[in-house]
Amino acid sequence: MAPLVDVGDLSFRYGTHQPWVLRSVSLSVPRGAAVGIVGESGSGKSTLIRVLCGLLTATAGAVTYAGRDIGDWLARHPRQFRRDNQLVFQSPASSLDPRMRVRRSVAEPVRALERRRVADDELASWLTLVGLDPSVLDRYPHQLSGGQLQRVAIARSLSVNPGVLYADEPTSALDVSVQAQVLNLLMDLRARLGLTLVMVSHDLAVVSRVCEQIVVMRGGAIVEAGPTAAVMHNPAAEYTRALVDAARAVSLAASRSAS
Amino acid sequence: MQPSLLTIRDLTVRIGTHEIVSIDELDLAPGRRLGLVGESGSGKTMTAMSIVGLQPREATVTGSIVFDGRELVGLTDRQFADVRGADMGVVFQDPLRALNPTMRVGKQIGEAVRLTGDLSRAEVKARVHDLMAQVQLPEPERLARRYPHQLSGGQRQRVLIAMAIASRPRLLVADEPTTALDVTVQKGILELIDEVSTENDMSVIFVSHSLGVVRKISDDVAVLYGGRLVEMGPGAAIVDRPRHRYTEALIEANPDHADPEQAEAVIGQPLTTIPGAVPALGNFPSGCRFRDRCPHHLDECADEPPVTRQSDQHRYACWNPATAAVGTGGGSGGERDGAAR
Repeated sequence: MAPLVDVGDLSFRYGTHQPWVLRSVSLSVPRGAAVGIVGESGSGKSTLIRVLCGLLTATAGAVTYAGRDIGDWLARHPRQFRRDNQLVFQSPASSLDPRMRVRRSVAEPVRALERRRVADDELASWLTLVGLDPSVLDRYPHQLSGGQLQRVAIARSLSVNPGVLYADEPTSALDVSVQAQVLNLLMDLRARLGLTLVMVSHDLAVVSRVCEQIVVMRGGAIVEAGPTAAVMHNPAAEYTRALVDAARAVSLAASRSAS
Repeated sequence: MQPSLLTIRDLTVRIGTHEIVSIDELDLAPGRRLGLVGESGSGKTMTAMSIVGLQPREATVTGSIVFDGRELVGLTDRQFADVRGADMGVVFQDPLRALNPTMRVGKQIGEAVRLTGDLSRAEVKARVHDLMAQVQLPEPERLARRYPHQLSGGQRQRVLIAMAIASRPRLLVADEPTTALDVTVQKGILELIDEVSTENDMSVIFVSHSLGVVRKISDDVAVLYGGRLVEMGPGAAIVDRPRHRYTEALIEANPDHADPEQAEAVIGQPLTTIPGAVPALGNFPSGCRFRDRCPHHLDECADEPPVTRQSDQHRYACWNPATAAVGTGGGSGGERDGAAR
């Protein structure tokens, strides 16, 4: 089956005299998969998903969505493409407009991309979908907790029925106890809605719990990609080994077996 | 038993009418490493900062903090600065903000060195290079001339550690020193803190939101929730056999608590969650502060704050403590041995 997202030799830089941020990245994401992109700061992981969902334009190489070049998508059917490719950011406190009530923030993608008004019932159903009480609609972002805000951000991106949900460090601003709730929500939504999930994280433990496929990035290039279990247990690249070791050194499982 | 370096009794930290921290008893022996772990709002940073006298101006500290035989609560800023200067080093989360951006790092380390005594220029320089070598910064001569923005995050944190240990303090307080760092860099900093504290026979208070990180670096771990010390004991005992239901839940909610052998089986499986969120300041329930998020709460949990109990290795304050080891297979429950669910 043809992959839903296909990336071939993608390179990116912010300008002709700027350094390359992505170097010859090739990757394919099957429909319905959950792919985790891990790497440290500056590895290019966030830039990569910004190119994939059309927020940045590739400098070289090809990116196709559903078999069609995304440049072509954006030129001919920009609204359809944006509906299909939604992004959830790391910090919901700064990705939601502080002066808008949740109602307006959540309704905005539908208004902008489907050009229609949204009934309260529909808004309420999206909030229920992410485990929030519809009364949240009348609140402002500062009245909600970090976990609630991230649920609002997720509801907002699901409102346009996307094919792929990109999530950029969706839980790294949250406490551990809340992180587990949001990760469970993402896994549950993926199963219920048949979403394709592409998640960026610096946290190997998070990615290896949620995703079947892992892509390890460093310095703008992919150093290793494969099934999660293989990458975690049998890393081929030296850098992946260092990353897995460093993560394992502070994992609770490791401390138990060491003691 | 060894006399303790730090003895805390009935410590409370208040801001306005809110009680941010309330700790009955906490001791630290010389050369021991203590980890303070908790989520946001647990009071871990406030506890650490009141020990070194760097709590915010509007905070009121009462109770007793005895450090090396001297009562710290009630000291003036000046007196506290002397204690810190001689015997305490502090490392902060964000080295870029803790360092002066307009001063070469060698000079900043030099300032910390100069505060330790009347030294000649050559002596200061020699000590700066010695400290830089201790924190494993390469090519001290060249690196000392750099500004903070020219260093990597890990190097900046090493500079901060060099400054903190310049006076050969007896206590090093590190507040989330690796949180802003990449995981591979974090590993190096943890190893460094381990080395310098062992070599200099320093006690360490290490504050972190990550139980795994705290477990790695500390001898003893103190778990805080809502400003209360809920459980304390040797790190291995806390992680392997938590007694407090909050500690237990925190471990189970961690995605990396799964046994590596079972990692494949748990992909996509839900994690154990803690319902709700940490309440806002002033909104904690009566009795046990964790009770309304706790699946094991009993009627008495609402009535009275739990008394602190001592079992073989640790102290915990829970009316309905866990009795068995936390299962190792996240979500599978197969390893569990008869714990009340």
